[in-house]
Amino acid sequence: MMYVARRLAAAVPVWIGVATAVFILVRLVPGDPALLIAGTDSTAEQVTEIRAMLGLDLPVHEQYVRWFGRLLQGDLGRSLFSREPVLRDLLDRIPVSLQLALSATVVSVLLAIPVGVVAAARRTPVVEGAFATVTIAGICVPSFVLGLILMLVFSAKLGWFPIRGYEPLSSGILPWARYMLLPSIAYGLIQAAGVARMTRSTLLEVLGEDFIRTARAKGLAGWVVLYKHALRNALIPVVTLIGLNVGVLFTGAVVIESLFGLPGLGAFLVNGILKRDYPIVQGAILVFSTFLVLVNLTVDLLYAALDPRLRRA
Amino acid sequence: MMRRSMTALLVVAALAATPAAEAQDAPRRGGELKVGTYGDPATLDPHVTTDVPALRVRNQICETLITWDANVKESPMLADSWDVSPDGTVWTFKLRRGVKFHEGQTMKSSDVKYSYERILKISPRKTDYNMVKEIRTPDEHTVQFVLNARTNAFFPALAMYWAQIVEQTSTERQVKESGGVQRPNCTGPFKVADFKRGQHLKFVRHDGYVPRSEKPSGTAGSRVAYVDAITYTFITDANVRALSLKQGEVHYMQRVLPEQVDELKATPGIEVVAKPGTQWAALYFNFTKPWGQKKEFRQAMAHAFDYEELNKAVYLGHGKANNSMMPESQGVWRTSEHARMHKHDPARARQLLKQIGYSGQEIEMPVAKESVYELYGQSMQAQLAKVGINLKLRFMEQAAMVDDIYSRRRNKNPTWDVSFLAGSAFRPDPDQHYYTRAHTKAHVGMYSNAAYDGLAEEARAETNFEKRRAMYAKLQTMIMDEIPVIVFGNSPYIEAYSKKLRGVEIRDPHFDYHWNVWFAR
Repeated sequence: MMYVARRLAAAVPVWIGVATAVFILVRLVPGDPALLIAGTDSTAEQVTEIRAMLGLDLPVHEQYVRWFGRLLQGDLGRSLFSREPVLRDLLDRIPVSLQLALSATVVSVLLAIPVGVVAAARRTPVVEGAFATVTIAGICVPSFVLGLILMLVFSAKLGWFPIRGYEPLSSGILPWARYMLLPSIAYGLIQAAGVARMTRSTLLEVLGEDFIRTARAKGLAGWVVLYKHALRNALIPVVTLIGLNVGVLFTGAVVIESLFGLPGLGAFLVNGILKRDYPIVQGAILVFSTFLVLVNLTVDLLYAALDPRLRRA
Repeated sequence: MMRRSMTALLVVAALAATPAAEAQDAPRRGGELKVGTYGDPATLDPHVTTDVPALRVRNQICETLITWDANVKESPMLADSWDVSPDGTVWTFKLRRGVKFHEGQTMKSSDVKYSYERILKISPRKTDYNMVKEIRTPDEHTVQFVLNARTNAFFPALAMYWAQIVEQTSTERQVKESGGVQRPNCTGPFKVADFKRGQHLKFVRHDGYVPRSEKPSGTAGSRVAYVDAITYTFITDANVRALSLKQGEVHYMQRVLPEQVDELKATPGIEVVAKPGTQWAALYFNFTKPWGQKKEFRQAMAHAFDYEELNKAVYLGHGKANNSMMPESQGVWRTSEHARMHKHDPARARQLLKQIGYSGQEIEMPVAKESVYELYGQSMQAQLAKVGINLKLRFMEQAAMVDDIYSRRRNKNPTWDVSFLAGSAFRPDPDQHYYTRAHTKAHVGMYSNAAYDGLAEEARAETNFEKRRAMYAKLQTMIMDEIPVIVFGNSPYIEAYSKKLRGVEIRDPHFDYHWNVWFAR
């Protein structure tokens, strides 16, 4: 508990730094939200009015103080375009992105670890050749290309799944899964390639260790040596990779979200950036950075859970 | 004998089929219309946003005092009639009686006053109504707008999509409870049933709605909600939108790309409508730069372009080559002057360039890395190269490009030589073209012409339609002669829908509307 508390406390200055950096960076990028709101057929007077109405005419430091003061009270401000509370919009979208990231991780793990184990345990030319081909293809093919292919085959051609959209979990697991399955597969398969390769290489390393030779010499069954002794040790760096992947999947889903019509955080953030909707950009990036801090902490805790030596340390 | 029997049989069959065919097409209630829209209307509050996706959906549920008929002429909607004082400063509107808001309240003049006061307070377009000094409500069915001075800008502004009327008490309650309006309580033929941001929006028929008695024309006249409900699904990718239409997941697809037209037309059961719209594309000259200041250079560029070829390159021929500031759909204002085109004359262009000593110096133009801008930029570059003009495209992100082009808004001179802009023409009034785009106070390239300014200001104040029309014809002549801007044309308005639908009308700048639309049997 002390360890967790220390780590969370250490994250606070990181969080403040990220918030400040985003506040400054988004204002350095060329593009005037007041002009975008007013439209190209507006007059200079209209743009000035809008800027004043939204507080964008205040000095930057004054804008920062106001924004940060509200942030400490949990208020992320209102969208410059819709005037809707940013926090409410983020809370609507976070679960969707999280569901996509976790589902894609599950797909990735369910596929990658068995494939990686088989590739390490059966080192024949055919298996090695197939493994290398499939994983390299998986790393090279963009997720949106795979997503389009899945959509064309399973939605457009076969009609097994809707083309796009989202049903919340509250509507039931099956309706939710109907919409989430294809995007999860498209997104997860790409990650699976990297996890499978990591699983295979770490397992091969562990299988060469002395304690494995000892276990075999003691007459233990092959599968016991592989799954009970070797895999457990090999999983430690794999868990790290999976954990980091969850962070990447959560923060990088904009293309898959847009393609499959998932109302997640990625597409929301990109739209905010294109429109220079400062409160949305600031709020969304804060959410992403908070998530990444929590993911890193979780991975470290899992690490300790898997390796007793780390707990003692 | 046999032949006569066959003929008789055919005649009987034809006669029998005709009523059935008519019945098939007769308006009928029922069904849920599913629309694939390209943008998420981040809010439904009528007075807060002017985003086009929001305007398009709000048109179904909210109404304005006046609206436009098929000839873009102001027509009654929530106001039955109006008159204006001799000095042009007091406009009196008689409201339609018995109009019900979605929650059941009856519309009163106080709701109109509240709506406009709210617009004047929070709307991004509030300066469109700055001429309003006072709003009076002499009785429950009469509203008076008292203006600072006579101006033509006021009356058309009442028909704009951001001047919709809301009910006062429920709006104030929503603002107090949640800071904004989630479900606008308006008067339109449909009302909000469900809104999940980023996912879908559902409207259902407003049972308390009584259509006007006039024949439908444009957005004016009778509006009947035949379908029980309209569900908008937000599909940003045009290919996925088209796929959804082909699969039958939606009945109506907004914003079809030009390259999708042939494929969708060839798809059984789908109707495609492609019409030139009011969105314009134009090249502006920078009058603070040496080349922009030379009239011969501007003339050379005007002669260098083949406007039909540009239309084909960018819109596959579905747009409209048009050098007039005013699009063809704003027909009542156009004269023969507006039909004039710059002559495509490369030889003359080369001659003019030689005359002024231009020999291939870089002419810089900021361009957004986004479909229309990129297509136009590259097509223009190729055409100008043929006469020896070296157009250098500076690619940038769209918001940054707009910022760069509109440097004068930040009190800085623009740095580009020429700029390309594509814009919307929401207000079907010539003032927004001739004043807002070319007056000294507005031209992005700092063009300044006292004679032009004077005439544009006079046209703003003129109340006689024919006199005003003549003024805009003169202004168009000045644009063609002085060339502060070269308008290339108007982009197409392309939508697609299922052949199961009847009554669909697509008319830019009115956008699509789904009243008076029904499903065939």
